[in-house]
Amino acid sequence: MLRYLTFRLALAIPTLAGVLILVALLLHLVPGDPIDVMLGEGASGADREQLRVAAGLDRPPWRQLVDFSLGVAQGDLGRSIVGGQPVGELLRERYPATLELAGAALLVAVAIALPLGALAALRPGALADRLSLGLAAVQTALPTFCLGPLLVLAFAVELPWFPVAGRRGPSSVVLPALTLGLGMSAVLARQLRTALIAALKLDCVRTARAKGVAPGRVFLRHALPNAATATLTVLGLQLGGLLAGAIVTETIFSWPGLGRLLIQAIGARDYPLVQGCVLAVAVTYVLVNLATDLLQAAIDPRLRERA
Amino acid sequence: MVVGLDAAPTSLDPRTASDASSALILGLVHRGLTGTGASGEPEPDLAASWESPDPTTYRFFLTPAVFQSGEPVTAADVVATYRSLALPALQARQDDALEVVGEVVAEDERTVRFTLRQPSAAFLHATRLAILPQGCAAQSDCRTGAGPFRLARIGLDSVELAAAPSAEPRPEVPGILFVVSPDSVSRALGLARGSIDLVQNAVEPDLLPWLREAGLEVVATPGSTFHYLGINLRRADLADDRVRRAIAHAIDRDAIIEYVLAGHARPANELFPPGHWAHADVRAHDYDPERARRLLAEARPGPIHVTLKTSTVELRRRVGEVIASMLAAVGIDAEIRPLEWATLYGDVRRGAFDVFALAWVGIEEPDHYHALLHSSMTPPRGSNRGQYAEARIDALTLAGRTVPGRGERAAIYREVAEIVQRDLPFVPLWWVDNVVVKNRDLLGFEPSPSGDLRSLARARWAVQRGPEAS
Repeated sequence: MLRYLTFRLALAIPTLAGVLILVALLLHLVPGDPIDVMLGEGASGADREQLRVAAGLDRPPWRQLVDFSLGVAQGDLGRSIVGGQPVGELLRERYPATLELAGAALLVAVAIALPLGALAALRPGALADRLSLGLAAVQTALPTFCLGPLLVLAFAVELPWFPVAGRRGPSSVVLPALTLGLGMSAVLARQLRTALIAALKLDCVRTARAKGVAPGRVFLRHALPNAATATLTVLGLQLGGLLAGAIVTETIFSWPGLGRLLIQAIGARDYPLVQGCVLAVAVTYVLVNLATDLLQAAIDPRLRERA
Repeated sequence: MVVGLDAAPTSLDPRTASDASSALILGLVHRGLTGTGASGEPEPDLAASWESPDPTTYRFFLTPAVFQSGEPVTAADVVATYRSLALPALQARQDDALEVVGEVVAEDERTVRFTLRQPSAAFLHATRLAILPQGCAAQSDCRTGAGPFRLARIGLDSVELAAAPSAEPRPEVPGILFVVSPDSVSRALGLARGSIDLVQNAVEPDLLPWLREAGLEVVATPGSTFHYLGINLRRADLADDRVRRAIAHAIDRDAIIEYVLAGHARPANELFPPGHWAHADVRAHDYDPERARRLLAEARPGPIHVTLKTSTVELRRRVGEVIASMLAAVGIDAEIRPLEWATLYGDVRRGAFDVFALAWVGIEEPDHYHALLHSSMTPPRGSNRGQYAEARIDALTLAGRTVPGRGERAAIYREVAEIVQRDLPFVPLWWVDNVVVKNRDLLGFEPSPSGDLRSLARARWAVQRGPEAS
């Protein structure tokens, strides 16, 4: 087990290095200069060269990346060009907001997808199944930049139950989590339905039924765990995407998460900050995927043996 | 009281801040020796008056004022602030015009003398620089000022100001909370709900009727933000002034203002709007597609193809599309290319464009014409991005820097505006209004032409509100 974990984590290092190199390359290829963007039209009197040296931009791009990577190896993510704060500090400020939103959205998604998917699978073609299919179509067709403002209009303006935007108090997470979770639940419910229908046809389920096991127990003990592995994979990928920052939702709800920080950093060509954000996102992806695999191994003994 | 911003401030130290959000907030926290009046002229602020016995000497006499820390504002604070600009650790981004300052000396508690290395007519305007207490002027991130509000709390997406007990007169509202709301629809919804009380220049014109219906007050006043089309004069066809005149005649600005900008702009023929001391009232290139076609036919037989670069901001893109279709109507094949800001700005600064649409924000000192038009001021040094070169303009913009008298300078810049309108190194479009959407109960707020929020110090609520609703 420990050997497996070490192996997986070691495997993450080339992945992260590849991501960093690719991002740095693309970032330096697109036009735009961090110092020009920072100064804007107003301050032509500033000493651009001095600012450039202070931000370390006088070094060639490959050197900037090498220095950044050496810093990362020592736990130092460098400083933001625009604000001058340590990148690590900026990430630490934003990460909890991203975690909170991702967690809440996941709860919403599972709470909707689990019963909907299960009902649809138990009676394929019946009302619940058609309902879930219709819902999935609507949710997929309604992008977050549309669903978000509609939810705000309904539940923050017409019915003033929740705040319009911002992250102040627990009630402020409800609408952004719904916006994200509803979209996720559609895919999740359909995935669960398909996996459950397949699982309900397995020999073990037929045997259990023949032995006279109660239907509820057959479903929970035999069908659901068999359907869970495929669904968990989808869930893991979705969660990884959420933690990477739900940029549109964060913008609509003024949610101070990682996604908005990343977008701002790209807009300002704040190279160290972009690289820091991307690194945080990539590490999160790797960890979530690892956690999903471990969870699947815990559910499915066959995977355990292979590992 | 809650003010909605479309972007987070990047710095709350007035010496390093260079974005609009920072400027709005800092304008309420700090005061300079001078302020800028409605006509763009310097007016007394911390300095009650000043004199200039010779063109390189300025003497400012301070008015009694107190910092938010309770200490009085003295000449030593002014000296410390101006000297701090040279500290390398601060990386200050000050006004060009302050580069001529040679020496700053406190003559007594209330008198400061500036000695300039050479006469500079633009210097006085640059003395609007925020004055910091000498105790913290040498530090970066100095947050104490002499303005009516002090910085109380700086959050992730918010900045809270509290009325300074030292302020005279004391603001009527106990505090102002600035919240960052990057999405335009979300800002409008916040206004409708009442969680945001005021938004300036950050609501799409399309949403204004709905907000009026929702019970909000929309106040539009003439502004000074100047929109224009920049033109690359290095391109052989665009270097022909008949082609540039054709572009100017092809654009129906009145129609764009009415139908795209909801009426919230005034057609502009020069950089400075009516009411500014350097306004020249030059003649317009009227909308005349027939004349545009004739000019083009005279200039060149073949079709002209240009790329029009704009920002990806929805409204800018839409304006760009309309302009492109108007140019197409007279025979200029214009392809619109919306670019994300850093890319657009990078291209414009590198000179990688045919035509671009941008705006000048907050320009009050006509010495700006020098950076914009002088033949030596091509990027990266200045903002002459189209590579315009005209000997008379070079002479005038240099003369305007040193001539001390207001009347003589006004005459110089009137001539500059006339030559610009004749040569069209850029095509003036319009000055946009300052559009404020605010809670009806918020009284006493008067928008300023430059778009600062200083009058919030005098704003009050129609009904007394509890402290939690402040």
